Amino acid sequence: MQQIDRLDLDGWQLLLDRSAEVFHDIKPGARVGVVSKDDFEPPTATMLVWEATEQGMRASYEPFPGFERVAIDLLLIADDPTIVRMHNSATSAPFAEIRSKLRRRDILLYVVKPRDALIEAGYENFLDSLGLAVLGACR
Amino acid sequence: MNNPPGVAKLPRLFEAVQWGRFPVKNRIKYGACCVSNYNTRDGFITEREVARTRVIAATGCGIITNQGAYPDPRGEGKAYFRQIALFDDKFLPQFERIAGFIHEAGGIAIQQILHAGRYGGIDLGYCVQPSVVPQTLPHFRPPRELTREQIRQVIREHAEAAKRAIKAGFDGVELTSFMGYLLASFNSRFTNRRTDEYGGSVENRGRFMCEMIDAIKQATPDHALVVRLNGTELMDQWGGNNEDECFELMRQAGRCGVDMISVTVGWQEAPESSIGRDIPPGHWNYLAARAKKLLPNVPIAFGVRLPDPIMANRCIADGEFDFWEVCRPLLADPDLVHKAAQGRLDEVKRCVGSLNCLSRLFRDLPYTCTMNPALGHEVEPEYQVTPAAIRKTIMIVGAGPAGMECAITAKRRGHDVVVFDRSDRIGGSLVGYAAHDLAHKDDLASVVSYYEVMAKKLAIEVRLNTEVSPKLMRSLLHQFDAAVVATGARTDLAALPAPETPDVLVTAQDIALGRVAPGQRIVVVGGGKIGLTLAESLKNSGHEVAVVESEKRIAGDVMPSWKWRHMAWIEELDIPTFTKSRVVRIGVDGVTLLNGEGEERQVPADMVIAAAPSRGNQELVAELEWSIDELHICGDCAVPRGLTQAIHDGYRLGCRL
Repeated sequence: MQQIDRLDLDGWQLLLDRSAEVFHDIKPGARVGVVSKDDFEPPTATMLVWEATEQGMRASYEPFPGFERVAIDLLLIADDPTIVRMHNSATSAPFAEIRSKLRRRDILLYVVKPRDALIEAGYENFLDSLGLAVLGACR
Repeated sequence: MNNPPGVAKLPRLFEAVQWGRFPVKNRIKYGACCVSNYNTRDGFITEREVARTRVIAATGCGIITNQGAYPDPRGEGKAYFRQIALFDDKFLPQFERIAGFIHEAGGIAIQQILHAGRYGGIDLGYCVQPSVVPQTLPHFRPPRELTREQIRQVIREHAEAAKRAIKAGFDGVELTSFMGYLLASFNSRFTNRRTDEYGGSVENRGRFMCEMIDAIKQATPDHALVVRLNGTELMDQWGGNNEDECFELMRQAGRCGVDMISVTVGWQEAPESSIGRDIPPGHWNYLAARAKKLLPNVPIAFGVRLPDPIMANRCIADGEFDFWEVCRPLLADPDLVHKAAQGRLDEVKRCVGSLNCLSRLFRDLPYTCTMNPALGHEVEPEYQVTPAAIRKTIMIVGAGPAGMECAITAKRRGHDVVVFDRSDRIGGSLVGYAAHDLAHKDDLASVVSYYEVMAKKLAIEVRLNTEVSPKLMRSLLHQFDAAVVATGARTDLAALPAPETPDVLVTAQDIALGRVAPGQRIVVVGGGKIGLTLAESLKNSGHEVAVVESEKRIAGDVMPSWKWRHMAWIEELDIPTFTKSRVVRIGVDGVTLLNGEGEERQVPADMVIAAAPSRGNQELVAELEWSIDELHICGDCAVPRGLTQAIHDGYRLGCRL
């Protein structure tokens, strides 16, 4: 399978820069991970990380340590062709495509942090833009 | 004694059968499909629930399953804020009452034990699972892995809860392993990544279920045990069980000696619909048939998206399953079974698959039903249809859902009712929107036919083709004690710029009701449920359509559990949507939009359909205010909201006139 880190970081950074509005409310320190559906078994798998900084979202790679130890808030899992398409930003609205694929479960989103922590970190608009309502008055 | 006429038409459904040591009066099982959320935060059953359960007991089902109770004192199994509990004898008195109601009505009483597992721990900061697999929906709790000792404890707690249910007078218990609840999460490859004897092979994954069944059978050896199991999870795309694995788990349950398997469909996280009206009735029946073929000696119950007793009777006759398991259709009409037995199926209020019930639950609210306004209010006299203290003659203006619901309820209370409507048929705007519904059109259309049937059967005078002008009303008023204005809503065209060409701007109602033929290139203004319904239908029939919405997102007024459906249709049909935008010009060749950033955009169109904003048709209210003793307003005429609120408004008003 194609290792996710064979895709250059500049491409990911371009995607993040073009989608600044989607990440607008997310606070520094918040982290979204992306791993390949075909390889998310630790310790070999690599995870793409989108991290919020004072200067905006930044892309990097790090090893995927497994569900129990992963230090991220949300984890996207997609097949290789989908990841490549996201990277190449072939579409002018990459997050519209992600939303569509999420709905069809072509991309799976794991919610690693509790709902309250996600709201605190400013994810409400991001989740909403992906079509995932933060439901419930008290949940 | 002769059987009621419907029984002869549905002989297999209404035949008495022996289920183990229990004689069952028919092959209908009330399914515990939903938790009501009517109870206390600490698990006690309320009078509201008791009153509701009296209605359930009286549905006429041979087997009645009481809604799921969580079995553990920690609340790890608790999925809903006001779910009932069964981890202590202190809860028993209300359970005893419920078992008593069911037995008094001649039913077999089953208590469901619901440990929600992945979807549980609602009062806690975590949920429990076989393995740590994060949630895919943000409102559920982060997972903790159960240790072997905790697994044994959970099994013990289930067995103790089962014993408690039997002590309360129930004839058996039901374990629920579907939707992603605890048992399902052990069974599924998606959530079970254990490497001990509870994980790995399908046999190992089913071990927890088998030990649970064994523990309950030992604890309650003379009583029935039902297990609900997925025929399909709809999660196999992401490593969940495929259908073969689901049926292998059923085989295991059968070997463990369960007394009935209830076949279910889907997980809460599944990407596909399983019970909405976008799924054709009977779509999942093949799963029940496969279960029956696999386990011919185990009674099979089934009812997922199978709302029709005629179809259920046929399936039983064909050997596809043994018991029709029905819940949602009985929420919509608790008299469904009696009406079927009496050959009065045309009087049934059908479940329209709006998913109002689930939408409410996922907002942590008690469930209600679009079609049955009394659901959950059975304890309140204000919702009862009781004889009127004073018999009145009532004029109802508008034969839409609000007006007809009010008319039927008032007539049942003994009032004389006359309904006026300017159109040539009952149903109001719903007639048009039902015809454009991209899902199962028959469901919404059934609301209209129900009103037509009931008007006839209750001898309600309906004066159609009667324009409700103030002049006409004034000439009639002396004949009436009360007037109800239920004239619905209309699009407020004044809120849009005047078109530069005549006839290019039309209302959603005009298109829905076929009063105006649609153009070829259409812009729909308003991305709520009315606008989306029309846009989808028109695009589906070959028109070019775009949607303009002033809010940030479309589908703002759509039921939460149905929102994804519209969004998916809009994407699948490739309908462009322009959000945060308003129409500033309706020209010869199209419209000019202005978005939130101040940018203009031209969208070509030969027709603009205004689906928003809406306003109530309230002109008659002012005209009648000083002309009649009682004047009421209800439905969209008061505040435009939609079908559920129109039906509920009309019913409540009918109860108190």
